[in-house]
Amino acid sequence: MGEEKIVTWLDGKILFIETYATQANWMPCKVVLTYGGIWLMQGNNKKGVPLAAISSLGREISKKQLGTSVSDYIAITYVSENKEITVAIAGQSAQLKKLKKYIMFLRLNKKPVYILHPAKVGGVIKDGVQWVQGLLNIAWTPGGAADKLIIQRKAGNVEIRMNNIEMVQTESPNIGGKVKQIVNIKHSDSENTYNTFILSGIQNSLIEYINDHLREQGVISSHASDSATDSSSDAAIAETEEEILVALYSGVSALEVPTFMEEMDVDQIELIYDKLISYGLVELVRLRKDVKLTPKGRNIVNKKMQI
Amino acid sequence: MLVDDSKFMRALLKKVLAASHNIVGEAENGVEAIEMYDQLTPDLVMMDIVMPHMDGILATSNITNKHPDAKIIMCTSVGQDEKVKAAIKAGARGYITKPFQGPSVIKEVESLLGQ
Repeated sequence: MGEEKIVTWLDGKILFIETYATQANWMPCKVVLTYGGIWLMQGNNKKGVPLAAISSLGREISKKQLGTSVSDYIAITYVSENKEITVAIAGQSAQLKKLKKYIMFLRLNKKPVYILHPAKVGGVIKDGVQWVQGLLNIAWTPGGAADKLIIQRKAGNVEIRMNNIEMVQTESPNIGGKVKQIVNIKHSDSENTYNTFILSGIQNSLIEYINDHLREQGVISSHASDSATDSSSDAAIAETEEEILVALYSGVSALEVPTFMEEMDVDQIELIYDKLISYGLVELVRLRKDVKLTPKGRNIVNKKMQI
Repeated sequence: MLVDDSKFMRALLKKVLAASHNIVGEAENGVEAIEMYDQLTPDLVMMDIVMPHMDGILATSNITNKHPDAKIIMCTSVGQDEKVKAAIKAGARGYITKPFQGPSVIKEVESLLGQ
């Protein structure tokens, strides 16, 4: 394994996942993350997993395989001697979270990528934008509120704030005559929505990293797949509610929505807004006042018009 | 001219575009779109791809064969980018994925109308 400087570590237990195991054999273990990989240390036994050998961090393990009431774990899948091995690590929630975040950081930071930006602006596919080489940087900030993905390019950096990411998914476009799997990151700033395409050897890690953040922020559910954004919560959305969301996304103001939603009046639309607020899909900006003239007000208007 | 089998999408595009452009006609499928284009020869068509009877790609191909100067912007759902490439071959000049943002759509429309 590579550099041995310790990044973080935890005291917990590990379980090697075996498909046909009749019982889960959890073993106490010290898990040490270095710049080169992960060390699983049990007494005098020490097993190293190079970072480059890790293929996934997000695998969900069935309760049957976990065997006990372990709810907080991370599953690391790696390749060793042409065999795919998955080890579940359980421990304190905060430590597991930290371990996972640092593993992701080490797998992504300073890695070369190809980038197409902007592939789309506001849904409009941009002609003439070319794939260029870049270097992916993971920028962390205190508290995480301004964490970013920064892709260095010759033409200037592309900065994507993690909190501005709407969704991430894989796509398989034809690039230079070959179908390639790319990561499509949809993100926004105060003015527009952009799609940035990334092609690299670390795309599964990138998707896991972004989806982990989206889960933390409650943008997608905790059971969402790592390869696409969550659709499980969509089931609760009725067609009309979905149409209203699409209209708002397109830039139609909340006040204008009733003017083009057929067979729906303002009261019905406002009920839907309440529902969407309760789902956390829209937020209240302000309450507008609806008023009508009093007799005194009418009197003043009449007088003014006579002058 | 707007071509989309979804009444809601037509209403939304109309809402987005009507402030700066006249919507001269609306069609629900490719067959209607071809007939309507012949009658109205609009400055620009916003064409959905997936529609019943005849899809937007075939309709675009038909229109541009007969009217080589026709300006058609395809609208597609996310994940149908390969279909958009087929649409370009059929003669589409621009392409928009749903969900879109109004200002970007207006910019694309104006850019194409200015050509």
